[in-house]
Amino acid sequence: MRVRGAVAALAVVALAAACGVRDESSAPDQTAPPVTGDEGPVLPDCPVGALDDADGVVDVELWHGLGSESENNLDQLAARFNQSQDRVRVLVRNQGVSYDEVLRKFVAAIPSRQLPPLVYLEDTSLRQLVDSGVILPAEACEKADGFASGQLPAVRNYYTADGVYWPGYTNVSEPILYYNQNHFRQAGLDPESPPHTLEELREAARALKASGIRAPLSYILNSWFVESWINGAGGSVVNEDNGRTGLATESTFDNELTRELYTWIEEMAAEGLLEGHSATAGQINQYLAVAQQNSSMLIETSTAATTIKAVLAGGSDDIDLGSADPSVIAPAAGPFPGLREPGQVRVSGGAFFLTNTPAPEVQAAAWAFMRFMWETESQVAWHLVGSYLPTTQAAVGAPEVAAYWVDDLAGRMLKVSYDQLLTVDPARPGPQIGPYRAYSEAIKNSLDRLVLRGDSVDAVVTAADREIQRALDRYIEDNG
Amino acid sequence: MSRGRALAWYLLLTTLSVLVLAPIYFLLVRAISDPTKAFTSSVLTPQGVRFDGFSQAWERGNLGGALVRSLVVTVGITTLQVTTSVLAAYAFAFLRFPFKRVLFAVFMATLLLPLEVTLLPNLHTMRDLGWFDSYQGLIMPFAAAAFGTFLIRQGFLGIPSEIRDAARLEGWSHLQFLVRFAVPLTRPVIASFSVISFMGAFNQYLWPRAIITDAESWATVQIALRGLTSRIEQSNVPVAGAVIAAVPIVIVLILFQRQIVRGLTAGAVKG
Amino acid sequence: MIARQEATVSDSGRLREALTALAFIAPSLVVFWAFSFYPFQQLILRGLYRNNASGTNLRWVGWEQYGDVLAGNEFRDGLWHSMQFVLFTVPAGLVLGTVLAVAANRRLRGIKVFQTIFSSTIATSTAVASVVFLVLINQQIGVYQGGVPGFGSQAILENPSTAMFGVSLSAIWQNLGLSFVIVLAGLQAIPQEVEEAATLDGYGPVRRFFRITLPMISPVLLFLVVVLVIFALQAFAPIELLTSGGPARSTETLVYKIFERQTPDLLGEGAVLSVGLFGVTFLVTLGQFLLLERRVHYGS
Repeated sequence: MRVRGAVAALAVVALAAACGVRDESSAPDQTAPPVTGDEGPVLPDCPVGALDDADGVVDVELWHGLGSESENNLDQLAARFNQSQDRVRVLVRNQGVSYDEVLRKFVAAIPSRQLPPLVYLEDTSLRQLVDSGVILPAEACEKADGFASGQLPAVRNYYTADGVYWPGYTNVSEPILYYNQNHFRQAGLDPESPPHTLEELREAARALKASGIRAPLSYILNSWFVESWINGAGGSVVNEDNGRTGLATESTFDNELTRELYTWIEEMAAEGLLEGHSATAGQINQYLAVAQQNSSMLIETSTAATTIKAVLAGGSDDIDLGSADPSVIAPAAGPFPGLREPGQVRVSGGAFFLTNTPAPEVQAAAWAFMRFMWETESQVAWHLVGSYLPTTQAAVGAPEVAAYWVDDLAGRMLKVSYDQLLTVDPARPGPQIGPYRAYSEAIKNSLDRLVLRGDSVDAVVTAADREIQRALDRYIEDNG
Repeated sequence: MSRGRALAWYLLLTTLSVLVLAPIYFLLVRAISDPTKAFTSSVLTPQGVRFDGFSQAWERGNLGGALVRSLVVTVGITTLQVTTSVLAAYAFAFLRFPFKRVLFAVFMATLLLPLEVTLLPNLHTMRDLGWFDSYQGLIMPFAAAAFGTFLIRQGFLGIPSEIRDAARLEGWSHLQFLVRFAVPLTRPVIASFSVISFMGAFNQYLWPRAIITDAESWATVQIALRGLTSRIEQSNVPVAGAVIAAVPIVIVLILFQRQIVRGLTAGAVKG
Repeated sequence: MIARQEATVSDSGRLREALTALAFIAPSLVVFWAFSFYPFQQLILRGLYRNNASGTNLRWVGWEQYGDVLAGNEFRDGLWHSMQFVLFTVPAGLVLGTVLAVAANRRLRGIKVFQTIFSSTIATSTAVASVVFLVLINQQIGVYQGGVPGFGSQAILENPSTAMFGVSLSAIWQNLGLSFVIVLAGLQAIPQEVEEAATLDGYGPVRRFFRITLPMISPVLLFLVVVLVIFALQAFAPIELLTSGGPARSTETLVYKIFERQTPDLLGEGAVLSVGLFGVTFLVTLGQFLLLERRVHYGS
């Protein structure tokens, strides 16, 4: 009978085929991660001089997952760099629509060591990258080249792990509160003063709901804001001081601050004051909600400022607040409304990491591109075009930036975010978590269950805590 | 049939047609609507007609390049599938050789191993071969088709044996017989399979999604569509993109409706 | 006739024939081995290993991983969500396909137009169909932004209890064309005399349908069921485009979970899930063969 024959065929072929599972790790670890010696960490060599010995043009591939304006900016910077000299050629490669996709591809390439010299990844990947052993800490190159970046201490500290600073150029973005000034005016709220704390937000939302808005706060259910809220109010999500003094072994997610936060979210949802959007890949419903004027407030990344200006404000810098046209949206921004105070965030964003697997001259070439990114002109471009926040005095002092912060709608919104960055405590810049993805999924799932399924705060927080603990245990087990 | 009854049937048929076509109607309306007017509009007619959604979708989604790539991949897959299926079907229909029954079972066994099951190891293979972002990566895994082999073999078995005998006596080799007689005589079946294969290849999503890492340079139309739906755009842009993406297959459907129907029902109805 | 012919062929002729056959089959076999059988074997093996996130610690864990995963939440949830998709799309496809086919299977002027309309959804890819339903039920831009009455006020795609249903709608609509075409072919294969004899015997239209028509097209309906079930088990695009597996993972089918497990630390689990999916598909296909064979023996 056909089926029997098919089964037999399958079995025969399966057994006859080559035996042995394919090795995912082809070469042994060739470079050891920095070791902490008696005088502090021992850095590996950064072969900055290797570029001089290279014949011909050195190609440097750069992987990223940026989109729209940020991507344009990166392409432009690379083009400018390539044109300005003839020893290095940077090849920009878009690897997907999200940090997640880029990380996935990057990690998939680690065993075969077919890694690009430069990769742009989310800040949260730091711990995992350090533990993978394939990243060349930029501090080594800075030392070899006698270069100082001049970054804000909070940013510098955030990206320091095991006593070493890792990425080349860093882009910072922060969550801020975008809101529709027209809706505020219609609800009798002062359009120039957005809510600063979660309690104030609740009050504002009530007024907006009364004025007819379907769901005043458009809220994407991701882990980033939860971390920011908890970290900003002085709490930790994992032990070892949020993973900074050592590899995190225990989840401290289930604590009073978390429960207070989740209770606030639950109550807001119950009153119909917020609409939760599942933080799935490629999710844009939270923006659509504001665009369709179903919502008046949106907590989202500062990097979205230019898109919001383009899509919601039709690209104009000055909105007529008194306009009677109901289709006009007047976007503005306020600081991230914290549990206790406004602007309590952690350092976030993306960073360019150098890998230690390519040939020395390629590593040197990659570092040369990083030096180009640190030039004031490039930093200013990242801010003006890419919407990331400046992290050095040099960039902040540029006249174009000062003008941008006054004349341009997106610029004004970004200034709010920059001011907020200045208040981050350098000693508590944010968590360092190895299994970030699993940890983040646990939190996202708990928020989905809380807001979209109506489960209780206790149930979802305990479940998330357990899931995070499992992820931490697994990470320690997997990494020997 | 009486006029009254005919009228009743026409009414029912029209109602059903409206229900079937309604989603397409909404799609078209949204594609040409002004998205900033959406919240005050009724959904049945567009408020403020705008056609720039199509040009924006075309540019931002790189749909031109995507369409070309989709066509290359689709033609590649279809050609290979038809070729390998015809060859294998010939062998199963006309030739005698050892392990024939087992090998046929092996062919049919592949139906139990769809791509969804073998996705992960196949991706590993692609990585080892360096076939991510490549035409060969998009085409080769689909270069053979058990369904096609089965279908065309049925067609070959229907060729009267007198023709086969006559060709034998004339001294035609197998290849010559295949090309001069077998294929032309079973053209309808082969055409049906070709069209089904074409449509399936053009509409693929999972595999291109898995092996395309550089979406800008390598996206097929279906993947380009995903790029459009995950960007923060005015809502008419991704919708317009979907309309554009549907056009090639709609054309195929209109031109080859009969072949499509025959191909789809081949396994269902005997004869 | 061919056998008689072949009986006179010499041994070298036999060899040549076998070699020709090998040459003709080889291309297909190579593809099948490389992309179906070899990966399948690799799949089973990979399920016995675990790795870390960076792919540097591949180690043997044995059949324990199979036991853990197949008995665990991920497989159970994935299977349940896949089953939900099957339960939503298959009966709907059967019923709606039959309704359309019965309606369009008559001699009326212009009936071809209606038949073309009913089969039109064949032309949509899953990506296009998903965007179509984005326009229909997305909570911000959709034509209908509400929820399913009785399941809470959440929008269809944002409510974990109704999201799978919402995703299925896109597949149900897309399957209409295929279902219609197949059932129509079945109806058209019924000899007219049978229908006429039944009418002469005094069978009303409803009785005719259930006593005569339905049994006669049951093989076709069975074929359609199998096709739709296989499609449903393989669904991926609607989920990625409409909900990305959310909300609260309520739309993560087996295939989606497998797709999400490409990183080295999740590959072992993904491999076991894939084998699980194979098992489910195998059982379904086996069921089809058994039922169909029985029909052929004892049926019409």
